[in-house]
Amino acid sequence: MDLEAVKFLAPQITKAAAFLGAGLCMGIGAIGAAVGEGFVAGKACEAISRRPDVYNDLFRTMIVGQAISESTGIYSLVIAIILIFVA
Amino acid sequence: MPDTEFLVTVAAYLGAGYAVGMGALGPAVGPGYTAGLAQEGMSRQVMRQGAIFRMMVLGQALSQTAGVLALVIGFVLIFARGGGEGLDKAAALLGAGFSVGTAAVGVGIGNGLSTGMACAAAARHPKHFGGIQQAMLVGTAVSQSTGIYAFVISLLLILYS
Amino acid sequence: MREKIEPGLPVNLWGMDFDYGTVLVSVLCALILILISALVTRRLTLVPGKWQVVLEGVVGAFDGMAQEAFGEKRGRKFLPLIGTLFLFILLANVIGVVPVPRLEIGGEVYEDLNGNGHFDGGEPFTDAAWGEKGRRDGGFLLPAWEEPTKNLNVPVGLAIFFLLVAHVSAVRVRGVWSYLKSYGDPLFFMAPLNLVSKLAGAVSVSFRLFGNIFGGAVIMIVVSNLLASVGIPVALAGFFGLFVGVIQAFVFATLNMTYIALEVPETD
Repeated sequence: MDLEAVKFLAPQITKAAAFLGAGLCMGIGAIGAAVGEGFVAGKACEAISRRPDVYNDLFRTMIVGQAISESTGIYSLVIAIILIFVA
Repeated sequence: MPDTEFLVTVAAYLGAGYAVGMGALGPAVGPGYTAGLAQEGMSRQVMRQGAIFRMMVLGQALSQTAGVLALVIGFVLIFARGGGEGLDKAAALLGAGFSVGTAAVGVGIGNGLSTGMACAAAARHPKHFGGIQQAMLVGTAVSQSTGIYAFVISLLLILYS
Repeated sequence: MREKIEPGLPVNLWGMDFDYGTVLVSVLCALILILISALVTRRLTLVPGKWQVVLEGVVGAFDGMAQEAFGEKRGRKFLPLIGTLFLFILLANVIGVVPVPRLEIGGEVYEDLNGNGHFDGGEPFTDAAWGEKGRRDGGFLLPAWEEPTKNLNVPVGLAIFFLLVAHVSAVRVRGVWSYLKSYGDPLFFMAPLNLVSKLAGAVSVSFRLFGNIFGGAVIMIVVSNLLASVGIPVALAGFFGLFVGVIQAFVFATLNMTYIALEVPETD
């Protein structure tokens, strides 16, 4: 490989890799959060249909459960943002 | 020999992206399953809602351990990977990302399955709540072991390559 | 041209650097908690007032959880530790939502008199407010009002402390030999795995808290820079600061309690 070409392209390739990494990160990370939270919402609907009188508690549980599932999605977002802007 | 230090950086970023990406996949599906089964259990056993809710939160947090470990490796890869150049270091950093990221998929989903079923079981037999919780804790600790192996291997790859 | 704004010295005591912003806000959280507790418990009534209901709710919930985890007698002994941990982290996470501007005090302000864009020597100084007339120089920048849990040292320090609590309690309750033997079950060669698993537990519990809170702060900064709107960052601040903060405080306290309970056996 031509030494000059490599030296010229090196910072661009690094930036390119950072962007690729950010895309991988957020893209794959979003799958899990979406699937998990969707399952929670579906089961919440079932549970509410079974006992509509406890709607408030079930709704609150759904929100909390989805928020905890979202945590790892947030981690992905943070790393993706760091890769794009800082790295 | 061309200057290959940027390859190390490239590998670090790709590794970090993969690690936290895959590391968010499993530990989100698992806790989702847990919350779903916990809700079903709560609708069946309205009297014990508080206890089931706390077991759900605990189980979700435990299932996410592998995701958090992947986040740690992501931070280390981006900010604290240490100097060094060469293709072998680049490959080691890529490997570190692959290891902890892919391991988190199985650990997250598996632990999610187990804690979800623990919540459902606690709803069905509320008298045995303590025993179920104990079994859930020990079970998640054991099934997390491969995730911890992967984390240790990632650290070794980063530090000793 | 002297334009440098000193960002406020990280204090160096006994050879270690302290970020005194974090330390100040942490101490402030502790003082607020002490103040609230002292005020509310001064006049405990049987039919509780508003604040008393809230505190009783927290104490009751953690009392129940501690007794489930440790058994009756020991649960009461560990309850203050876990409850205080929860309240402290809750306050620490939420306190970042309050918008406090970053102030600078002292120093001198130089005024660009001849209008050539920079300060020549000999130009007088006024006490104009910062940014109006010229540049402030040599002042003291007060630390930013940020959640102390945003600094990695705070969650890690707390996790290390509770790791020590767990293991020292285990040794005190069981005796050294039984504690060491517990690393060997269920199978003897799993001993290093058990050790790593406990350490990984402490690491994961601290990084979970740090990741959620620090991530929230990063997202706030990025969104505020990208969006020219007031409503959306405020809503986001509410979600990250309040909602995530409360949940992560609960998870941190409960998980630490569980890790302690795993070491200390229930039968006594």
